[in-house]
Amino acid sequence: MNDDAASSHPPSISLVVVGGYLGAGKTTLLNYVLSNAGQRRVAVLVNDFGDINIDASLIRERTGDVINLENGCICCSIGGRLVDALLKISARPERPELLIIEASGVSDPVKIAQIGLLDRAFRLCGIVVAVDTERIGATLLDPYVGDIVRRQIAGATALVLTKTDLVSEREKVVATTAVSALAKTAILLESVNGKIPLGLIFDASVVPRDRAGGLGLTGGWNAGNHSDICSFSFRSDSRLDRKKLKDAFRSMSVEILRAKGIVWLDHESFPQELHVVGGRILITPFSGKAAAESSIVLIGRFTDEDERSVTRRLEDTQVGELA
Amino acid sequence: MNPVQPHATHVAVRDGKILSVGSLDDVSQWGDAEILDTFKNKVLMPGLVEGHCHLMEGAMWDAVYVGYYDRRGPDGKVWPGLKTLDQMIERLSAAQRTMTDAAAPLLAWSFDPIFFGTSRLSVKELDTVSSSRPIAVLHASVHLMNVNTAMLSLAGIDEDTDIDGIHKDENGQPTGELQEFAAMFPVYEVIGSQLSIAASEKKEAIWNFGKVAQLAGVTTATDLVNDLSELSNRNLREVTADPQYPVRIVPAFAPQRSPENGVEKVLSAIGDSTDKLKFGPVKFIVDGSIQGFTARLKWPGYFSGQPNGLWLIPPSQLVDVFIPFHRAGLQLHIHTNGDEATEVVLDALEEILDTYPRRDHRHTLQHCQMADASQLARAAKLGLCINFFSNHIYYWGDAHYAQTMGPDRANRMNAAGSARRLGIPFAFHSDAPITQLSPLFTAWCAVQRKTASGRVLGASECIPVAVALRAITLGAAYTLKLDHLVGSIEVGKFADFAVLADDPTDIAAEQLKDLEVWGTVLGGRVFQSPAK
Repeated sequence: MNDDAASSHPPSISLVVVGGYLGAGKTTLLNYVLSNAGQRRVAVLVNDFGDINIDASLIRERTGDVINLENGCICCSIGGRLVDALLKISARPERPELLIIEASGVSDPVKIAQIGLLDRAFRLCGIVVAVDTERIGATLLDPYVGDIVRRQIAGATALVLTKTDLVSEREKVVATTAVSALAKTAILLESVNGKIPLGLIFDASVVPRDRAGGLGLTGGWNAGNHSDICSFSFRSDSRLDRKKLKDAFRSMSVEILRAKGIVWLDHESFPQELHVVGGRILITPFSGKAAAESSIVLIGRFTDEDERSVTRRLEDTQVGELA
Repeated sequence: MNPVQPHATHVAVRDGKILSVGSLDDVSQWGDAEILDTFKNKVLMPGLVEGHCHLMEGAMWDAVYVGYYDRRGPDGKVWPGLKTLDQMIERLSAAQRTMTDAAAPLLAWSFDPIFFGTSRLSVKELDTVSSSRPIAVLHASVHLMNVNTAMLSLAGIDEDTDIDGIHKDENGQPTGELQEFAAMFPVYEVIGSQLSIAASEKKEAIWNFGKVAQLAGVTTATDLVNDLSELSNRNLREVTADPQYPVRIVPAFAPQRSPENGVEKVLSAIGDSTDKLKFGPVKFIVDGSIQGFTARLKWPGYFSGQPNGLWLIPPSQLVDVFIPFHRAGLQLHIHTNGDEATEVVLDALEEILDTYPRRDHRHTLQHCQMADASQLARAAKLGLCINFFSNHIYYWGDAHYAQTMGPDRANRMNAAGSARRLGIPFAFHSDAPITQLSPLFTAWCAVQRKTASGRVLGASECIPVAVALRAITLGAAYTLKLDHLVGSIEVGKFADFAVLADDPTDIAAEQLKDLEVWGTVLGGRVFQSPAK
């Protein structure tokens, strides 16, 4: 894309895909997010067949909207309603800040999320997969859908174990073990009645580590024994090496939910926008005004040691002074 | 196709319907008539019925055809199949020279790299067509496309695009091959609504579809995914009402595309049916495609180890989803490609029919390509019809043998022979635009069961020519509940004929696909095809 086109581009729309099998609690989770969305403009796409269970009054209140989507679209690459729906959303004069797609119970949310990784109008912020703690054992053994649910879990950037209040401690451990064995992400949360840390969805709800000062300070979310979703920044006066930077993000073992920033790369005359989610890295030319330094915000669940090790890894990508 | 009267020399027509059929003496009993000898040296067959195709075929012809096989466009022009990449580049270059708007994208369709061995299309070749005009070439499978450098940059795809489906060379540069939906999405964003399945939203596409169908001898054809939107219904009513429009159209409502008030929508549309526009069927899609590895297969799964395909309706919801339409007396056409999809649909229909028995429901399994003997037996007991995708044997049979199903299941695919032995009412289809709309070719596929390379898949599933001809006329009409109106030459039915140069029962079976279609007759009106 040339610079003219890039500079006339409106800000990108954050995309969150909510997946999980039938009855896993996707809609409950979505309703919780919507009722805590504040003044943000949120649009919701429902890739499911049958009734929409999303609280319509909630949506109207948010000045966003719900669009129902055919569920034949994900496989059929021609004429997909998903294409139409996304085109319409990105062409709106007043774009939503956030698009949440509720994936159908048997679809692979990664396939939907890939659109967010590719199209410039959308920026993927996460693939949140809900897992019914009570029933996951049986679902994984289901001959027709077990494989699909395994794929959903493996594709998640964050997993939410729902209905944990309905099971014994032992059952919870069994479910957690089964899910962890399939998951690529280490971010596994528990949720009752759809309550999740809003930082999972909204950047603005993420508490910087230096201000959080410990556990449980973000409102509305009872963290239990989990540490909160938090963030810290990495800044550098140096140019960074593209390949080393990609390698660093691919191989980090800490619980990163997502990362974004503006970076100055070696051999590039313009700054680049960096966007990382679920081990995928997108680097695109940045057309706005950028400071004369590279700066990356990392969002996830971090200990002090995590922050130190990530900072060290990123420092290793520095290659030379920024002229 | 009327077993009581397989042959006749004369047919009398009044008010667009067949008044009498038999000898000159027989039909003259109705009184004096004008005798037309246009077809003296021709053979009249019942007009052919295509039970599973899409109006989208008519929309595709806005783009350049670059398939491996000969295909006729709406104007009757034969586009010769392209046997080398050079020929394809040549055709694209010729098309680009005629374009006046320098910025308009050049679109092509039906490219199939399977026939070009190891040589792969890339930006390099497409850039020789144009370095500035964006170009997109959609593959026959519709799961892939190739684009040039101009399209890559418009779509914002470069070496840093970190996503599945963007094929890259050894230096990490995109080759222009885009696989699957997500990778193709930004290209669709550039080209807009072109190459879209909602073709009945455009009158021109409906017209082009009609012409393509008419060239193939078809007088009744389905649009097996339709939204029944207001615009689409109005367009279809207007276009089919034109006496010049050569085909009866049967749109099937697809609740998966527009879920609201499905039953009411169909019932109300049925009230608006005309002689040339027949609403009624309801279409459901349960799994994906075999060649796209998205069909749901039973054990042992895909031959080359791909993960199992996708459900478009969760198996546990099938009963609830089908029931309202079944109870409203409507007929279901259910897409099941893989044998696991067929299995769950049989389970669901069994449960529904146990609870709400219905005589003569004629629910139809569409494609049903991999069903085994036990599934076919169940289908027979449940009173289902099957519309097989027999063209697959020819087009993808080699790929099914070597890559998707493996030998055992490829040999039993589209088991018309078994269906016949079980007494299941069956038809064959093209799924146009996925393969060419030509029932005679489709019948040939079912009779010969030959792949493109010449391998015969499961000779025991071959059927005689006469049975195949019945399947593409009365058989298909039966699956649409239109067998009282079309499908055979009998008194009271529409005067719809396919006019052939030779008698299909007289020629060698392997020539069936090459039979010359002179034209058609629809409701007594003659439509002569342009010469090839």
